[in-house]
Amino acid sequence: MSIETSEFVNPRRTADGKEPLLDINTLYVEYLTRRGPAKAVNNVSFSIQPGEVFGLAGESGCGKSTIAHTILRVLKPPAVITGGQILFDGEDVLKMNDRQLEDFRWRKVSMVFQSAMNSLNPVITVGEQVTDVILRHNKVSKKDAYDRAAELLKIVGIEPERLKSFPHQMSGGMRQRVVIAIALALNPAMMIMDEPTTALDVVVQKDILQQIQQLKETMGFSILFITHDVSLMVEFSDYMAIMYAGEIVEKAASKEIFTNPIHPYTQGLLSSFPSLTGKKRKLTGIPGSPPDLVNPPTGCKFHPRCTRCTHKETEVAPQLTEVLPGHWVAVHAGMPLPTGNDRIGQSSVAKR
Amino acid sequence: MDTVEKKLPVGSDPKRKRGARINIPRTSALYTLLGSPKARVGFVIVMLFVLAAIFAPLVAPGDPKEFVGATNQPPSAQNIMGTNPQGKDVFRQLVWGGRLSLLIGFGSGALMVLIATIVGMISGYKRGIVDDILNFIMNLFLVIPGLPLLVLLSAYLKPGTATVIFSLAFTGWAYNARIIRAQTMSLREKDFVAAAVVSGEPVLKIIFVHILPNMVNIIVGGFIGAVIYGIMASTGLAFLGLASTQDVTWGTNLFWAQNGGALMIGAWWAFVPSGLAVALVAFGLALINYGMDEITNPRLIAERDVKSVLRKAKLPRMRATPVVPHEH
Amino acid sequence: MIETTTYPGSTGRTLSKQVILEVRQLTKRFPIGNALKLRQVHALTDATFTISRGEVVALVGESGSGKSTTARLITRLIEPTRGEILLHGQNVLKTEPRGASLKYRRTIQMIFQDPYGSLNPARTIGFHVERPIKIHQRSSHAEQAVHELLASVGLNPAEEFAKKYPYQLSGGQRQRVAVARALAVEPELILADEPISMLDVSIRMGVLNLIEQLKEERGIGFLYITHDLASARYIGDRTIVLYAGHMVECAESTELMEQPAHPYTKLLLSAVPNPESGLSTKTVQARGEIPSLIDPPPGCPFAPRCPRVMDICRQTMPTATNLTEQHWVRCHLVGSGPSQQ
Repeated sequence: MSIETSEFVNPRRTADGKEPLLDINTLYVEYLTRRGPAKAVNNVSFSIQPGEVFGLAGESGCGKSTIAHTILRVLKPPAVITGGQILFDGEDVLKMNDRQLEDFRWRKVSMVFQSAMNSLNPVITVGEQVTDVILRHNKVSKKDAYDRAAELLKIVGIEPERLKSFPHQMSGGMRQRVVIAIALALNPAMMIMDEPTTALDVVVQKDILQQIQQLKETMGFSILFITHDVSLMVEFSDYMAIMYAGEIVEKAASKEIFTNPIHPYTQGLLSSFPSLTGKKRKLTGIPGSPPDLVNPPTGCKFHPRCTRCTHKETEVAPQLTEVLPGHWVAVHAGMPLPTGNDRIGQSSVAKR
Repeated sequence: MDTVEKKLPVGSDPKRKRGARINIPRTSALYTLLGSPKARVGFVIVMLFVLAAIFAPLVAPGDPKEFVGATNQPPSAQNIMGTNPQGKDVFRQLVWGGRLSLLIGFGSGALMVLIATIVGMISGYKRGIVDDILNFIMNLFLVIPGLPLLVLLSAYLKPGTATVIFSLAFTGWAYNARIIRAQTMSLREKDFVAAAVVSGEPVLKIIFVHILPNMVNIIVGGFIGAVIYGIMASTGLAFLGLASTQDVTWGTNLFWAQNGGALMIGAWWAFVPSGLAVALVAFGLALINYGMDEITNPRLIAERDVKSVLRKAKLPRMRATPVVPHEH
Repeated sequence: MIETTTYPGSTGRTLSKQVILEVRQLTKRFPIGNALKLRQVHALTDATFTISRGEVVALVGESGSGKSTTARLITRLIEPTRGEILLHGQNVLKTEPRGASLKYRRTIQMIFQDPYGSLNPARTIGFHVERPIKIHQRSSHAEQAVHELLASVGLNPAEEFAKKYPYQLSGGQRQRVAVARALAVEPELILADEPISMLDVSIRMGVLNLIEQLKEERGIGFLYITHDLASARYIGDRTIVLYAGHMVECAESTELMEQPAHPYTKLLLSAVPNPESGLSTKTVQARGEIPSLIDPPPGCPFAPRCPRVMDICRQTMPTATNLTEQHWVRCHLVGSGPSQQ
């Protein structure tokens, strides 16, 4: 499926596997509340390679959605970014001004927001909404924009005649495809997807994700995929990070996390999904609830709920350490590791 | 019950007093009423007048209708606000006039809101013929021109405070009723209402015990608006000579001032105080309303907080999420 | 069909099969459109099933399948167009034509999907649990009863929780309050309408385990409505599959997952995320989406999408075929008529 996109193509570095496309270093984001600042993102670092599907998993309040919005600098008040860098192709997004951000947004990185399919403008046709985006960023004729819009709808699996439809005339699945088409309009290098299929039925969900996977192969963009559904994420992403209370607790290739979860939170999370097949086991989930981000627990933030560790680390914050090749875990002194590694001592490896 | 310590956020506005603490339950109406500085200012203004009216015998002793001396005297040591064209003391008229004016205002406001709540909520909750009838009545009262009806009622009914309160409530209840009906209709669809039905709760209890507590903000806001309307409308009617001329209200003060030609002579002290009083009370009530809106719309506060942080860090205002580096 | 082994049962499957609720041919149509062109939404058609004491029946379907409509019909928040609802053998639509009686409300309760919407934000937790007690005069010591109920759903210390407001509780805690409220009248049957789909993943199991515990300790019957097959299997004794307002298959839960008969059930099973096999697994080829429920054409509603559709499928709705004593399916592929195999 080749697409004529000569004037829309953004020059993009070829994936040589070494230079990450997106490099986030020691990111800190806070929300100002009446009781004090809530540390929504606390010293988070990770990077995404070109053409990779990177998953960010966690429950509500863990900070994954915040990170997604921070990459595009579209967090609303009372959010404030208080530290770190977001390097995209070498440029620090956090140092950009409004004009530079306009160039950056949608051209280099676009986003499919949560429930975006419900945020389409109900009084404007779908076609107009797609062409709006194109025309906003490119000086082309209306006809060219319209043709491009038709192309985009085709590649997401909608007949181009639907350009004239209104959102309420389309099903939830179709509307989500429209939103994805809008995100792809300028051929970005990376697409952020924040819970893109949560509001959809499971059959439609699979359909759309398969389509996105195909598009990724042909168009070559990376995906930052955010969801709470860990089993879905393992299916869809190549590499993933598990977040808890604003921090990354485990980072590894998806299959590795599924077969060999090390951090107690990851283990607890994976044991919250009943299976369709096999023996029926009694599952417990994780007792307690996520911490207050204004006054979080000291040391390891998970320790009040942790049933694995006998030594509760309450003084020093755990460090993200590479305990196996490519597999990083937030470990603290005295934490038992079930993979047979020796216990990690006080010295720690610098985080990625 | 939870109490809220109103500590200021990071980078607070230097103009505000630090660490103002008020312990009020967060969900109570009192917090909504007094939680914002605007509301507090408004509250103070209104309370000033209310207290002056209650303690009128102490603040301005004597009979306001007493003939105290020469007419149209400017303010002096004897009459601190001078005298009006009928030779009455203006200050006494102001303070004693406040009694009836405020009574009429709050009284008609309360009556308006009472009718509006009952009719609005029943109409909003019930479907079918009950809603159709009540809605029709509401619309009828909205469509009939208020002022002419008011004038008619004032002219035909026995003059007096009760008449004024009744007439105002009779013509003004529908406005709030419509708002209350709309809000009830929206709350009716919530799951907690369905849960109450499934629990076996009878209809009237659902409306007034389950739904009503969620509408306190709207009702109080409507009440304040109704009071403003009551004071202004009754003042207007009195000024037109349609109120009992035996009463002393701000409106009648203005009436007598105009009647005696104070404007033409230039005796501003005869009408400015009462006019100003009406304006100030209305202003104070409006401030309370705005302050309440602020409290119930956290987004406005969030935006303000971030703006003050940026100002403190001396960063340019941007539309994008701001970056304010901190030590970690 | 009603075995009355004496209750109380102790664990799992050996509970009495005393039927609490039976619905027959339950149908709901909603009129839409104006006087010039009156059309109907066929929200639910001919739903028929029973729920017994100590049994969890899972009702599985996607959005628009009619599962929420079923719950609202059984709780009589809306009235059916056709069909019967039998409580302990009596058709309540005949005995209580004007709406549910207090006795009905005492027998059948409900838990809602949205933990943030199903509690009144302006009222304390204690209020929520106390109201049903007061309405049905369940106890003379309401406050103590409230505390006991809160403790029984795991909200300790109960006295403190009773004084709190909903905004102070997490989603999981609110759902537990909803359960406590439902338990206050000592019901025989509880409808749980997607009770965990809006909760954080790690607390879902806690709520499901609570339901299981209530089923075993108190013999309460449950209708567990969900779109998630895995949780239906975890907690449901029997599972019913709904498609476009029609029940298409019903079986004991594990058997349904392992031996699905209806093409839609097979499609649903293949679409559930399976971390072991990955995305590119065998998806049963059936593109398209759930059809419109407005004035639908005759025949099986799955016909437009079915990979093995036949002519007869587009003309008549299949009747239920019994594959085994507990497993029936409505599909022409399996043949209509008396039991096979």
